[in-house]
Amino acid sequence: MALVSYDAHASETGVDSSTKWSAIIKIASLFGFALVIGLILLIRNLGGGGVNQVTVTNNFGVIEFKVPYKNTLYENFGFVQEPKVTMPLKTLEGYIDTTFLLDSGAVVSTLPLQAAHDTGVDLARAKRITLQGFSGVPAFAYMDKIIIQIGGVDFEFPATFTESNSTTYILGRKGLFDDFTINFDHENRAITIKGKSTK
Amino acid sequence: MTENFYDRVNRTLSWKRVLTFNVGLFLVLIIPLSVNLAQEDTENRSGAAGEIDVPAVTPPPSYPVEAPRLDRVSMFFGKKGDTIVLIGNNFGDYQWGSSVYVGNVVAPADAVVRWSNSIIEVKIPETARSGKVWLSVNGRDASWDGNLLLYDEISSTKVGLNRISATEAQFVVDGATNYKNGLVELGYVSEPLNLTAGENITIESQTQGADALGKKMQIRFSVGNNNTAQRTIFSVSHPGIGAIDIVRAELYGESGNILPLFADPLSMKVLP
Repeated sequence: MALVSYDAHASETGVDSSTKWSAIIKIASLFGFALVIGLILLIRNLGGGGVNQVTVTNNFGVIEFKVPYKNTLYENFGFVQEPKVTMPLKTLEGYIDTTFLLDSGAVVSTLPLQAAHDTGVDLARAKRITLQGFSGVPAFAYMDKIIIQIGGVDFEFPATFTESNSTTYILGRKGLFDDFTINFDHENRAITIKGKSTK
Repeated sequence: MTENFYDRVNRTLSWKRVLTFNVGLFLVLIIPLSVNLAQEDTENRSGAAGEIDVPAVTPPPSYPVEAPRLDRVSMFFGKKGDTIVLIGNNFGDYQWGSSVYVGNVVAPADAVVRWSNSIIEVKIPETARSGKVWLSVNGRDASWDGNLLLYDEISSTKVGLNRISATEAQFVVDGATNYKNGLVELGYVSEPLNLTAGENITIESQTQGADALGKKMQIRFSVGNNNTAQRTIFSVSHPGIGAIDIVRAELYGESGNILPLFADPLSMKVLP
């Protein structure tokens, strides 16, 4: 607690109000920049949730899952907006938040080998297919299913598991695009996945 | 007399000083703020972005001058409908009038996923059975030494490589007791490969070779007392550079019959 002497108190009572306000404004101005920045960040976090934060609504049997685009800096192309979504993937250890690339160009969802291990997929039972790589050398992949939670509801999608651990988690069209309306809104830099909460 | 607080503030804080302080604060805060905002929804990546599909156009037949050569069939086991890859050379750039035989039957046109001069991808036909894989290109045949093994997971024998350390692995057989001998082909990168036979196993021969995909060694072995469902056939030690993978494996019963085998894709290859 600050202590004020009687002399100081007595002298303050007789101060000119314009001097007093000028001093207050100057003190406030000292941190004006910091206040403005703080205010911007506050508004960005509170008001900008629709764009820069994940929102999930589940009303009247309709799920709406809204996620922001993610900027990726490519060495040769500069910044590219990438539609990446983080969703809980059902594994043997429970649901684990997993980031998928939402790829409307991919026929089916593709996950790395580790995901087959995590989700308990028996690759020996799964149908074996080949995937084409950039080098033209085919790589094997195994077809099975994954369960993803959207808005707290489980959805089962067909998926392929590659033989490599370095491939990206990709959500393709089969299953997801059949049952959901997906809107890539580049102006608001957001993706909206909308569908019925029951299949 | 004690100076008035507000007077003192007014006198000490000129607008110039307030502005200077704010500029200083701006310079101090702008760097961590910029870094924080940039990292919030940005990641760095290098590499290519995508692939453009070109419509397929099949030119008139122009078969290779040289005879076809079939080096490997990957994988050496499968179920009906699974895809296998034939690797070799002089297959022709397109299928044209060529045929590929999988498990003793000709693969129909819709089973051929891709045909190129060195790689053919083909689905195992519904009528296929364990047996040979070969192809016929412009009247000339090329056959694979091995046998494609059709399996079902319940009644078939499982083989695989277990990683023991960065320089050692084991070839194991799980689920069969009725085999007397067999062979394994291992693909490898670094030499030498030193084999140590498992209990009651005799290594009959080791033959080194190479094909389009690299070095490989064929190991033939026989089994003395065959009553263990799970056994290590041999251990292999290597310098620890590059992977070791199973190119092909076969087990034979007492009458020389070939047993259906499969491997978990996770145990087809070991890395150092």
